[in-house]
Amino acid sequence: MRGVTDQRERIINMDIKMNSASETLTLEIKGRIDTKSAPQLEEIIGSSLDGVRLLVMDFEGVEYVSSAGLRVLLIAQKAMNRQGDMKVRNVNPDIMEIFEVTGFSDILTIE
Amino acid sequence: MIIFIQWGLLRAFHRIGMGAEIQENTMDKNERYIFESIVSDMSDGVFVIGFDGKISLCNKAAADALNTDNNALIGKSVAMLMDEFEENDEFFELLLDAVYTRSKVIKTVPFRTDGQMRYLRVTTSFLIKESEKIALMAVISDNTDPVELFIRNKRLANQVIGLMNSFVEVMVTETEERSAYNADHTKNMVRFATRYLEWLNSQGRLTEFTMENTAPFIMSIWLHDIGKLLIPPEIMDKPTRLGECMKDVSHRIEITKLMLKMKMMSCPDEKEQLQARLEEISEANDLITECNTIGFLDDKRRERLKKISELKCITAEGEEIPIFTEYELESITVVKGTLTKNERKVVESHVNFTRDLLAKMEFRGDYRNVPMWAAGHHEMLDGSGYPDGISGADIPWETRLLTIIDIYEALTAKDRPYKPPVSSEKAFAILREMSDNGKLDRDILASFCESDAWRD
Repeated sequence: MRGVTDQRERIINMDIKMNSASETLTLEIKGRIDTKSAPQLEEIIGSSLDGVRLLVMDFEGVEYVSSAGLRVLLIAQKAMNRQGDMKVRNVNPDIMEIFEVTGFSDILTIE
Repeated sequence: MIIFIQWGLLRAFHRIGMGAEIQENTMDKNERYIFESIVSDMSDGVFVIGFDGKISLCNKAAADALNTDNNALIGKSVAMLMDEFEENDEFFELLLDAVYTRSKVIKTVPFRTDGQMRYLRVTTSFLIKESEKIALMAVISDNTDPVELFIRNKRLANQVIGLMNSFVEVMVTETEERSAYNADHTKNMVRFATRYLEWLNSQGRLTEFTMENTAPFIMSIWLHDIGKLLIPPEIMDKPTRLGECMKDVSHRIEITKLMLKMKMMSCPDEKEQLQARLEEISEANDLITECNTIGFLDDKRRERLKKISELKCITAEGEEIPIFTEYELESITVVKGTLTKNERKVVESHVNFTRDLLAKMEFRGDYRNVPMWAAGHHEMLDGSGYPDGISGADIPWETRLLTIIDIYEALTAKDRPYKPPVSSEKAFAILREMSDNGKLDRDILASFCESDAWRD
């Protein structure tokens, strides 16, 4: 029974609010997009893009993005490249720094 | 692998580390040449991600480590690499860590290319220039061999530990099952303890007791009664006060009755006196049978037993002998339980045997305290326990817990020959009384009770 895993670590600290208006889907994301929460975000995006021409990700409440989060952004951007546009809004300075150093600022449309 | 964007870093090269301030364009051609040569000849991989988010420098060792061409890396951003190397987020995560934490990050991460997995030891530093923009430098070395060796060692160690655990588990379980009584004592204790530790962990409290690894403690439970192997089973499992001797006593009484009846026939003159003696011995027989299985012997019965011990039996040869041997009298008049003073000492000595047996085995590392935890399970906080009579702080948390679980299981066990099981409520009442009397750890007892780990 070595290393009983810590149950508390599994808590997902992310909250997503979806707004859909005509062909625009807005996701207001709050919290941390990390290894635990990124799959949830990926699933939501994957199942909601039908007929969406503009995907807006509002990052106002996002405190942290891990590499898994970046990967979801990459997947979303690729998907939207095929059917329209994607915008990322209200990025805080810490995350902006991450976007810049990783070159995501070149790929994403950041407002 | 080092990633720099600005050649001006050369002069600051020796200062690279946490947030080293760097000057741009301060490197002349000579310095740049020296720097390039150093980096290119390094056996460690080096790459630099510049202030524009693109790889500006990369040596061959870095490209080799990533299983690609160095020209294929120059000018690429992390985003592009992420797209290219899809299964290597641990690697990219540590680049991000350096930015988030603004500190040097050293980590060994798996890196997969072409169906192969290698382990890279990566040291990532970040650099701030005046404009607050940052560059990242990463130094990479292929650590696959040592990591694989470590993993193999770990796997071998786990195999040994797994074998040891299963061996102990099987031997203890089978040994206990040889006894008709309480065959599941240790197994039940392990179940209670495992559940309790899981509960503690779910409360985030396991580390309060610095038990990151609970396996050694569980091992000490499996082994706590191992010394009982050396206790004669007729004492260990003595089900009644007289045990096997009850047959002798009954036999003795039956012969006496027969002899008295025969005498009554051959000597009709003594019939009355013989009849009285016959009744006396029959009553004695009833009392002995009743007291033999009684849990607690009151004073009244004890006095009556002492009185009948003066009765004489008659052998088939006509010889008059005492109804009890010395040992039988001591056994039948025990106040509580089934064991005489000597027998109790023998049973109690099982902890000495546990200690002696475990002392002959090699317990190291995390397992070093197993013998101490296991052999101390009859010690009491007030020093009234055995074998060493240690007290208070000398009794570690693990032993205190083991003691409580041992007593709880013993009290509630349904198949103990010498006493009926008590309910959980009653068992906790008894345990609480013991803790009120300073024998058991009050906090551990309360916590164990709260955990519900003891429920069936």
